[in-house]
Amino acid sequence: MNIDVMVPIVGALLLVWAIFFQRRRMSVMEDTPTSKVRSVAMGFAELKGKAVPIGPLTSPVSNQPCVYYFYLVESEYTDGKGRRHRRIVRQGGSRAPFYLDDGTGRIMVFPHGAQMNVTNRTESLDGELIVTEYCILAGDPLYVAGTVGKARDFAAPDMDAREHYRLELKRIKEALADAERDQAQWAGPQAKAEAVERMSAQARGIEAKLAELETAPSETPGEALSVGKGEEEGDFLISTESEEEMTSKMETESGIALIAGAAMVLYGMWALMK
Amino acid sequence: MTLITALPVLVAIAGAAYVAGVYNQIVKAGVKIEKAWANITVLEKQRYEEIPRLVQICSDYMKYERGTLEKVIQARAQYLEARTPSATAQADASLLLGLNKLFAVAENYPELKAHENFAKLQRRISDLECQIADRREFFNDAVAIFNTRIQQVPHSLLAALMGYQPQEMYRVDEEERQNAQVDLR
Repeated sequence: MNIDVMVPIVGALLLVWAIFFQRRRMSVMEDTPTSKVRSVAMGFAELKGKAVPIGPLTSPVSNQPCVYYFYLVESEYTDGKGRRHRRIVRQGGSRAPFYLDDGTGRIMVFPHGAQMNVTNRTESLDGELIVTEYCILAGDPLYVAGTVGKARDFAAPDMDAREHYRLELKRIKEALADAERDQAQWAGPQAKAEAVERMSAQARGIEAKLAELETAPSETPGEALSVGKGEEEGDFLISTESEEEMTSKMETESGIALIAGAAMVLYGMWALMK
Repeated sequence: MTLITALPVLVAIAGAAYVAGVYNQIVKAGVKIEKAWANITVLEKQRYEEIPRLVQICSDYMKYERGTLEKVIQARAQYLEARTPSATAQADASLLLGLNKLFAVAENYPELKAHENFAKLQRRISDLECQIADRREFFNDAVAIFNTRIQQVPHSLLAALMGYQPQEMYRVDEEERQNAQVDLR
């Protein structure tokens, strides 16, 4: 069997898989009624509301206060045919929980393990590397489809909230030390003073949050109603786009994939008959 | 096996997988209705448990209001016997009407109104009522999704083969709803 037949068949199979995955995600969203926070039951649920921070959190690239961030560091390379591609060098994201508020109440969201669809995106250059950051800001509209349980079911054993804030504090203190060390990065004394003041305020906020967590009774956060990635229900989606926007996008994508798949099959059959 | 002979097999496998997917979608939608109904009954059970305690506290103070208290007890019993969404909706309206009357009469008993447990139960019943209303709305959403699914092609073909029928929603008559607003002052 020659390559003219194999390529369209493999392509069509990959598209079938993509359509299947997309339709499945769509059916999960369309077939799950929206719950209200004050009356949500345990198990898989869909919730809609606004993002509310639990504690201070600053995005590492754009340095803006947020409730969640995710970043990708990529390098660019050119292949043999002169086309440019990107390769992920490293990636990371916040694992700290935040609240979803729907007007009837607040529920904690543990983002670890979620499929994220975040529209607030900033791209910057760090030398030859491209840094892309996605942030959910306080007040952003939020769509969450995941498993409702107790906070202790979702809190990552390797990183609880305290650990998260300790790391965040360490990062800001390093940035403050760097501000003193590398004077060349500042446009002038005013810019440096403003940045130092902003970072110092963030550090003070985190120290206060850490002190609050140290004195808080340990049972309280563990029993709080939360959403996260369940062990049995594999789906866990967090999005700043509405359900309607997402399903309409998915429908368009699966329609294009269907047309492309059909064209590939026809081409493969034509190549086979030739 | 050449590609020409393998093609019908691949198409048959894809077809079977698609039918299985449609079947699973209908079953899941049906299970969601059952779960939504069960989740309403969990809260309703909590409310039944609070009513005898409320009546007990009230009976200590409202010596001459036996009729009102008995109506609440009767409505509760009727509610426990209801099995279908429409029967439950009707019984619930009677129960709320009874509770509304009880709370209105309690206004005439300042000592009862000042009773700490009475105030707590009043608030608890009000909170439960809000949560039950949310879950009924959720139940109706689940029923709407199921009823839509089984009427859509190709789901309708499979649903007819499996004998699935549209499910009944939770509906309260407008007049009953007006009468049954719980007034917790």
